[in-house]
Amino acid sequence: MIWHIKIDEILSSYKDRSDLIPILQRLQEKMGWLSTPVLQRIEEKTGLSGAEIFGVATFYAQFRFKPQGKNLIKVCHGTACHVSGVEKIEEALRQELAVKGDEPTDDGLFSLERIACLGCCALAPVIMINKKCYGKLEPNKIQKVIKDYK
Amino acid sequence: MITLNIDGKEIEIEDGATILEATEKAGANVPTLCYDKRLAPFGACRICLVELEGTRTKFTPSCTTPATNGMVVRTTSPALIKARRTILELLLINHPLDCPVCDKAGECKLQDLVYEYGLSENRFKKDMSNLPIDYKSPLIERNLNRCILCGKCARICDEIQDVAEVSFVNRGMKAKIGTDFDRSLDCEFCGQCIDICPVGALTSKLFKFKARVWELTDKDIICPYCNVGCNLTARSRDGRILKIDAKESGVNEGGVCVKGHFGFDYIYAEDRLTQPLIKNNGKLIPSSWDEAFNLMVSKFSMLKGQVGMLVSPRLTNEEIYTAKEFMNNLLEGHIACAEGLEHLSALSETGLSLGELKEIKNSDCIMLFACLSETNPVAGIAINYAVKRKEANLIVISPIKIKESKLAKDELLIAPGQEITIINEIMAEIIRQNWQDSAFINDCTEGFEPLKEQVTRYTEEGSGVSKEAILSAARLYVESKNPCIILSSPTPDLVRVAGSLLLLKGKTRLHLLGKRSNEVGAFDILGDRDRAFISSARGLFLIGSELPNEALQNKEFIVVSDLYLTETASMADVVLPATASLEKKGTFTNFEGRIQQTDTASNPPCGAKSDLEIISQIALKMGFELPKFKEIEKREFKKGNFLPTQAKDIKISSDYPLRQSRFHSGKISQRSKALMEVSK
Repeated sequence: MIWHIKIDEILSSYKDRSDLIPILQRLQEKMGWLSTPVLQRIEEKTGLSGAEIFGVATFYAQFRFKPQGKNLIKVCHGTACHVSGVEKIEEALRQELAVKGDEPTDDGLFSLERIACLGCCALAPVIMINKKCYGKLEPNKIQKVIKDYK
Repeated sequence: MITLNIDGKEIEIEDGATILEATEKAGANVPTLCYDKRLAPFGACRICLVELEGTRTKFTPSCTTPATNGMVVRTTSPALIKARRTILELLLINHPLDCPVCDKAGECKLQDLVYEYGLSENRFKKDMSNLPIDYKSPLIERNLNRCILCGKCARICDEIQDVAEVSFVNRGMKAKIGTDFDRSLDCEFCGQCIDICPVGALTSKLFKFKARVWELTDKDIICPYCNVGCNLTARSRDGRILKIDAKESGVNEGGVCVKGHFGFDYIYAEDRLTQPLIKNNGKLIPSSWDEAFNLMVSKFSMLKGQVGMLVSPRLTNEEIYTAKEFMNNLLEGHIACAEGLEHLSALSETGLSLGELKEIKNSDCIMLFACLSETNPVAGIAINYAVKRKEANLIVISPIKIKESKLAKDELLIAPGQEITIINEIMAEIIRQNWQDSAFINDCTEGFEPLKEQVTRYTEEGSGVSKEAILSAARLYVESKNPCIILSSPTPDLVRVAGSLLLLKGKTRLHLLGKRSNEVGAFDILGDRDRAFISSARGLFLIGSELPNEALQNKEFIVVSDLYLTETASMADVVLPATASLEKKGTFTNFEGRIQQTDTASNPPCGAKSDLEIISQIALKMGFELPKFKEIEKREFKKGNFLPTQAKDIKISSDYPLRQSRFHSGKISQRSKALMEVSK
């Protein structure tokens, strides 16, 4: 299978258990999220048990175990953003895209994630779509921002 | 050695020991929850806090802190008791007090501690976690709401069993013990996690709601399955075994496998025989013991000298000895063990003695020829210990990848059936490099020259392994101090070559594991006798053993004593209901040659007799009292013999290499519902 070859390429750099986290990071980058077959493949290739790998992965907030939309929207909930009313922005986003919780949208284009701080508080309230930041947002600007990704 | 003061007592203990070990030596009672002497120190529960004089923090967990010279330790004080009470209160935030319906109640460490520290209410209030209970996994029920996160199950699964089926998942308040994606368990089901769990988070499904632990009667038994001879505690109520726990003393040191732990229910199989059967007009009719005995006495007296007997290697030493005396003195016929013991006689030919389990643990180079997780899992634990704790080198020689492969330093994947060839190739390499222990060979062995001549002829890669790999394995083996070679139910030729390999290194013990609980005992008493008499005998007395139907044709009188109506038994003239090894007293000799006592743990089915009773009663009817069993001396190494052996042409059947399975599918394991449940 093609995805096997892709994974095996990444897994070939595994030497001992200290390589596990970098490998998980690269796999998630490639696949978007960590699925059961991916974890099983790591298990086969590294000799670590499934529970151990899952235990390491679930310890960190950065790893996802559910499919993710094509574009990941990170909504900053840092102090500055909170004060400037990011809750309203998130509400508007959720309404616009019809997303619930951490599930992706029905068309698979977007998923939403709450982030502690993006580190550009001068732009508050701020969201980040993939690798691009959008600052000084207001609920009525959301539609325009999203449009580029549809 | 270092000296420290514990509660005013001066204690001397070796370097590297922890404070907890020192307090144990001092006789102080320090409570623990997450500590187990078989596992690496973890320090999760903090209940083992002690006070250290002269330190800033004052309280320190004793299970993870090494003892140092001149330390002054107090194991109890009002402040300590207060601290421990707080820890218990914090544990109880998330631990439901459902002790009245918990199977662990009565032997729960947390329950005992809460009682000891007199906690009746909790200052901290929070909603209990409400995780789903895992009812789906076979044999083991996991109620994570009762879990106190000591991590013992995850650690024993990883460190001792080398499976790591469960692990800590998530973080902080959400942390729990789980499998990947919360699937149900699919492991070896050794159940050691149940034994080690300090609370009732992990319980045996076989024991669920069966009894309260204080109603149980404990009996020390020897595992009836393989010949590692694990020491177990059978816990029964009203003469019925409800659960079996591993004993911390004994060969296994707390280790146990699925067969010993859960496989005891074969004695409660529905098709157990409960009364003697006598063949009448081609049909087996229930009868009384007297009728059966009388018939046997008259027939046996008629056929004197022409009766052959086969005994199962699962009988006790006493039974096998009595059977032998019975045959020698009364029937004047032949007796042999039902299963071939050629590998044990091959071992005595080589002059080697039997290896012990603790030698595997202390070995620095282990050569393994069989997957032990299948046949002798508790011996596998010793290998894990040696490799993971003591950094021993493991050389796995097998035609297929086995469980132990991932621990191996060197893995030699041989062509199927080429075990003998590869040992010959390794020996050739050793002799070519002149690595052998010549002084030992000159002093204590015979036959080195013919061996040398034979093995040095090996130049081709007949085993399918490259020269470099063989050289590297040979070097690992030769450079080690205490190597051991582990075989499980091998062919006699494999024993001979493995013996030669050990003698080259000046070693005198071979680790020879078997599948049946008393193989070594049967060999010690009977030796490896030829079974050719079966075809010429006119009468047969088969104890717990089976023969192909052809061998039973044209016999005048066949008696079978067994637990079940096997195919062989249904061809017999008299069938006697025997008792299983869990239902009788006696001794078994394990693979080390250690004679161990087993006790009656379960009441036999009404009407069944042990084979010892059966034979002695017939003997009495025939007017003879049989002598009592005397212990047989252990064989010690005197002189080693090199036995040059060549691989014979091996026919490989189409289903080779064999699929790895969890159990051998014998007569008794197939009747255990518990084992059948997990072998699917």
